[in-house]
Amino acid sequence: MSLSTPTVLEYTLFIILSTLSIASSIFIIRAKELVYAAISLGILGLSIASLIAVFFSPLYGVLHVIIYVGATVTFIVVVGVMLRGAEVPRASNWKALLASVLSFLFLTGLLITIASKVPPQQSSLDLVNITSTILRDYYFPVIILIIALAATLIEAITIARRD
Amino acid sequence: MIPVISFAIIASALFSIGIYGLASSRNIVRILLSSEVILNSAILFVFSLGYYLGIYNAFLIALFGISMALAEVVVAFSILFLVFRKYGRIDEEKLTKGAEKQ
Repeated sequence: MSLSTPTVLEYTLFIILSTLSIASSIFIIRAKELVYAAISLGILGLSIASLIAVFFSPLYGVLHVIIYVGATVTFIVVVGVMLRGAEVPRASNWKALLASVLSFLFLTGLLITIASKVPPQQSSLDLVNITSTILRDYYFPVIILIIALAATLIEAITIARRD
Repeated sequence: MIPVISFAIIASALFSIGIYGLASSRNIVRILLSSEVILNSAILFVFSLGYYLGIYNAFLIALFGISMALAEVVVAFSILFLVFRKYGRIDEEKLTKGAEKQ
């Protein structure tokens, strides 16, 4: 993937996927039932994975679909089905809207400043590079992650079985 | 290649939608879903900026991020199940009042 001028196909894909991601995130907030909101989170995860796969790294796109959409979102959908009927009316207020608009303006300004200060470079995102970096430099965080996930599993079972 | 600024704007939009959901919702599940929207926006921006700057460690950061998100979601929903079983509701405001009474 080079940093050349974007083609029409790239622009089209970017517009479609970004519109889909924003529409699904709005639906998460606005949906009346939690199940539909959770399914919409799955669509958001898929669109983000597609954006990353098309423009940056297909490998990460696949991992995002497997780990995030396949595990996390599926779990949330199941929970949404089990908690059906526990919906709470949404409180719409102007303070939340103001916080949202201000955070958008602040973050956009900050990110554009960061992105415009540094010249673009090319990175090589291949599996060999990533795997060797994980095994060489990040083995300790990986061990911590494995322990954390195992502890989470035990914790979830314990909490769910408690009377 | 699409400019990284476009990805920054999309990430900011997702972040602000998540903030709106966090601030306006009283349902705990919906608050968690809003935090997931924020997580997605963070992953998108970390990845795009990391790729743009030639830092491929962004890949690893995003990977660790979604793995920890999985752990967080499992624990959060386990607690939520416990709360729902005990109080019969997941309304954050009523739960706070109920806890204050006890």
